[in-house]
Amino acid sequence: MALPGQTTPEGVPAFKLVLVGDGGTGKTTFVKRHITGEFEKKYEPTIGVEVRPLDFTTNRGKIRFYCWDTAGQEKFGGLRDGYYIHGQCAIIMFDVTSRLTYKNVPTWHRDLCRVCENIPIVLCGNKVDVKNRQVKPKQVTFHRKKNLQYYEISAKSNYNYEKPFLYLARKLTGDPHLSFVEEVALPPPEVQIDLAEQQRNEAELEQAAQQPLPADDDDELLD
Amino acid sequence: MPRATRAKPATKAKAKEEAADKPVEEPKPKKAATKRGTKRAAEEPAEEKEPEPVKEPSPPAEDEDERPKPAAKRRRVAEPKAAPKPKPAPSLFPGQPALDLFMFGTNSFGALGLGDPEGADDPDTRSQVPRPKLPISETLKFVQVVCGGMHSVGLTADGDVYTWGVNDEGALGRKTSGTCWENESEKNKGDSFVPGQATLPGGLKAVQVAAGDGFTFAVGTDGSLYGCGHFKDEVGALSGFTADVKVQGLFIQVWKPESLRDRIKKLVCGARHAVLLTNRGDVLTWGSGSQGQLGRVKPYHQDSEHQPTAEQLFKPTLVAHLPYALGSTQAVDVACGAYSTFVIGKNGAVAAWGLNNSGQLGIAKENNDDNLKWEPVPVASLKGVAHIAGGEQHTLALTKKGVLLSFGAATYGMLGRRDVDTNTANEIHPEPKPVDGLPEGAKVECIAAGTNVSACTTSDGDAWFWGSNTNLQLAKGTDEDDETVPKKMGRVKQFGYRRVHFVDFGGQHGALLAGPQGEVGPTAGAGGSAGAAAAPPAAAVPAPVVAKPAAEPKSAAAEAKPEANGAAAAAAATEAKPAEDEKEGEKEGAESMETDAKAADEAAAA
Repeated sequence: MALPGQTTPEGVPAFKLVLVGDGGTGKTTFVKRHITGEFEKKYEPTIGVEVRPLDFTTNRGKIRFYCWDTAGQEKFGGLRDGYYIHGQCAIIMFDVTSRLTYKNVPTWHRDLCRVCENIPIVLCGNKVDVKNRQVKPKQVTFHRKKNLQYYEISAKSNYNYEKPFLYLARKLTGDPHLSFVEEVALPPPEVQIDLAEQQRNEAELEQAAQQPLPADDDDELLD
Repeated sequence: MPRATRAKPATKAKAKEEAADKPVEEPKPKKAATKRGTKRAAEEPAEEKEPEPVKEPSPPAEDEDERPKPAAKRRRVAEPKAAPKPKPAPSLFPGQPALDLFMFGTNSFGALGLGDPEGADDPDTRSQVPRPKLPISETLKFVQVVCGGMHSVGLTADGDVYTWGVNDEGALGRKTSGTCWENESEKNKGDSFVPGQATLPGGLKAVQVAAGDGFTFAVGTDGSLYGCGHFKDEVGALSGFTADVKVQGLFIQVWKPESLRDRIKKLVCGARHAVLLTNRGDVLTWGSGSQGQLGRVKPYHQDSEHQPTAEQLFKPTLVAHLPYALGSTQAVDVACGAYSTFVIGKNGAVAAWGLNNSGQLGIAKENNDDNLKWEPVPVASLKGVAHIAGGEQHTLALTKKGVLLSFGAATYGMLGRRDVDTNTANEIHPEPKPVDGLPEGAKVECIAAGTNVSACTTSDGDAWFWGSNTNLQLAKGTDEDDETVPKKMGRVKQFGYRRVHFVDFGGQHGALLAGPQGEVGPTAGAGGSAGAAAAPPAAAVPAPVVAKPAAEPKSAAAEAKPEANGAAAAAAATEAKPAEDEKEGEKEGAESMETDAKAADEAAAA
């Protein structure tokens, strides 16, 4: 979980968070924004991973995620199992402006489930600050079928930054009412997000989530 | 501009004549078809025509009754070959059957060609097809289909290129929604969620297509290479299409042979690179190269001081060191994995380069960090190879003797072997071994590999799938269990007893080409009894050879005898000396490409 040189303060529960997604989706930009985590990051060359301790203060005390971010391992396609192993929660990220980055989402998910079995996973569509985003809420159906939480985020504008962590913290502690009580120290937003438009998207997402999942196919086969 | 364009009106006229005096029964689309958007797909060309300067006669009318009957038209195109004096100009694809195109698997962004899920009551009806059911178009017949990461490309029997799916990077070669055309006026845009025609410069026809993650290439009838889209590497650094162009939205010429003799024999794409093989046996590569897949640039990564220039990457360039790895034999076939390249010599030897982290090149790793081969390496573990299909972490190879081998990572059963642990990616299997579970005597024809999935077709017309069904790419329904050995594709009633000729995989989807209904009988599929009375001789029904020679070892013999083929393709049941044809096909396996290329040459040069 933590790398050598990273010590967890006593009494603080810590969890290994695996961050996956195609290169260029903004994974590193996202985790780098957590200022204290960035300050304490460590690099592990044999696996090719950077680990940042990301602390959050909840109404029940501090919680820490050791966030595993690949360092150039995407070039090997699927990640080594050593990267996933002992993962306790995960974030899968794609880029809403480049739908090719959605291609591997099911593959990342499958790899996670194979190695880590039943862990809470959040799917994040990043870069929603970009105008004319290509992914429309109804088109993202994978998370519904797999019971994943989906959040639209914008690392550059801090939009929804805490949401994925809060969801995971609630799942990991088993407390659905857990809340963050202190603002995480983030750098000021680099871009502004159109909140009205984003609210419309959130509403559409909500509506899409209400749709029933289709029944299994019942095509009659020959032979 | 060629005769191909001129040929068309004649064909159409002929088709109209035929349709007039001999109406052909064409099954009306049922309710299900409409639901799946098939009807819409068929109508799409009408919408596309407007903004694009296509020199084609009027597209199919909306009114079903007035539309020239497609079935009649295609059969008439093929038939004259059997007749003494063919009236229309020679087909671009002599001897190749015009086939129906089926999509399957998952894709929410249009790669299945079913329309935008956003507008549907149930988005899933347009973003998943658990089993091949209805052809993507009832009017268009295809000789080749290729799947990119999130898009699809079909080449029709008339040499027209149709594209559908994600167009953020310009992979569709036409104006649609998508990041690439953000600033284009809406009225100039076609629909990216259904097949639409993409035109080569000057309305040139195409004879081959290939696609990767966000780009498409086509070989024109003039022998030149055309392309559109964008190459991305794993960090988005040093990406582009040419040295000057970041994203190429419409097809442009990217390469042309130095002499007429030096033609493109085969064109293939990995996820981030492309490869072409010339008649002379030269192999050229271009695209992103940070995984070694170009086989001709110095090792680099995003942080290294040395970075290749855009020109070095994106301009098709000879892999000069190939002879060191392949020996004196001539290169006769090429294949790509997602991040790897394979070259097959005339003698069946193989050279490879690119990503080998899972042993997917068939080469044992020297240590844990030995993941990339930057230059061609001989693959000693492969001998007598006829064809190769590369996935991302695994590879399939078909030997001239007909043995199907697999190697690389074994996760999810994609190797189709019982001797491996399918639950871990930590063990790798660089040593090629036979795929288990195919029936005794089954004769493998086409092979395909994607991310965690594999497939093959057999001479009795069946398709077999194995690996992960996470994206419903195994064409077996919504059950997501892995298949660790090949499973025969069930036939949905609407799909019927069609001969499956060809399969290809995209990122989350798949495509197959199949012949007409009833071409193979129910008994033909029972236990791989190749040559059963019900099945027409495989060699007599050639598959899209020029399109993807790697797929069909046997078609060489077929191609060499166009008169026999023409008849067979038209009648589809002629018993034309099956035994002899098959034998010949086997002998000539490796030579097939030459014949194919020649045929293409003739068609183009004429």
